[in-house]
Amino acid sequence: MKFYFDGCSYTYGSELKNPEQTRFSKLLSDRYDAVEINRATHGSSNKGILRRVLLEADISQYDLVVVNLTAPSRTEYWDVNKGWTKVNVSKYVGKVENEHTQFWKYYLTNIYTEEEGNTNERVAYESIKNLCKVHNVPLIITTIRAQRMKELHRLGHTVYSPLEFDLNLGDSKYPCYERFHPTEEGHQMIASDLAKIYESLL
Amino acid sequence: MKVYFDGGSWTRGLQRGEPIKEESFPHQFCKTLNCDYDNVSTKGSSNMRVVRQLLTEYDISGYDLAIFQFTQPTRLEYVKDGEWTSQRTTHKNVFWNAYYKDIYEDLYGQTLEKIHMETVRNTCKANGVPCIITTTNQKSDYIEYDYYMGNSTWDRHPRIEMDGAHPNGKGYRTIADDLLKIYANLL
Repeated sequence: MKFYFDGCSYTYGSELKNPEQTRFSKLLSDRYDAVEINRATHGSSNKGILRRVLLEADISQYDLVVVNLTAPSRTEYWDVNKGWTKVNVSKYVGKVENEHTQFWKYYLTNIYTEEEGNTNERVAYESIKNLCKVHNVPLIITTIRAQRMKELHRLGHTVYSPLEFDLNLGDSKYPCYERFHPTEEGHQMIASDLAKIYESLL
Repeated sequence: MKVYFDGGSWTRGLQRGEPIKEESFPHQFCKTLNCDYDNVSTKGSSNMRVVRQLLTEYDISGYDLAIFQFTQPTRLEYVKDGEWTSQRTTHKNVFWNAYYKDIYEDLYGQTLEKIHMETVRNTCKANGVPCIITTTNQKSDYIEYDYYMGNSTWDRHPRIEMDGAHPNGKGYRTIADDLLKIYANLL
């Protein structure tokens, strides 16, 4: 058995002392004696998650795919010197500006709209669902869009997604750290909730 | 039988800046098959728009075949004053000029193009709809299309008669005939 996980810091296990051992992806995989492949990174965007799931992961080799979509205002671009570079609202607060940060700051302030973000979220959501359907791989798709999401508050946008997700990792029932990432107990609870969903898919 | 078409000006059937529906390849293709079609393409479209329309505006499961025409990966769309607005390298705009100069890289565009193609293929397959994905771009090593319409600027398909930047009625007929052959092989 092999499980694939992707998403942002929630799936990576940010703020945990030992994320590789205590994050929900590891706990869920251990429960089913599955190999855990976790490609999530802190600050990932839905575009980055879709890129990895669609082009880098060979989904057909997995027995379960768990994807967490993140704040729709995030994006990414290719920097010839740095590789895939993440863009989010909080990243540019107080940063020394260069032509790239100036560009993205302007984009987020003057060009980006809630409609664009929600549309990109839906494109990622539908695209990942269709990919898994084509390969007949069970998929659990989750979100972190909840009241505690500062990035969307800063833009004055609706925090909750109009899409139907299997689970909301930003739910206040999961204990969290100062920067709102789930604690060890929160990850245990998420793993337990994901297990119930997984078993309902079998 | 009903066919879904999306793409840019070539799918819209532009000739010298104006669409001529009866001579467009979607019309000629469907006339030969004696079937219905929806052509949701628009002049100056982008691959981004094709994907957005497919996933958020139309229900592809209601069609028996889908034909897409991809365009240059540099094109994009964004929401301006509540409307989706197309942007390409030739449109003069200070902000987007900075995007093409400082941010956009070929690898970025090629990656988006691959994401768009995979998304379109998977969406059609997941809905049990055969699809043909074509392009007006030149052939390249990083991606493979079902059919290359050619492009008047750099890689004109020798069999497609052109009139300026777009095919004429005969050119669109050739495209329709080529697509009919590809469709026959899908059956």
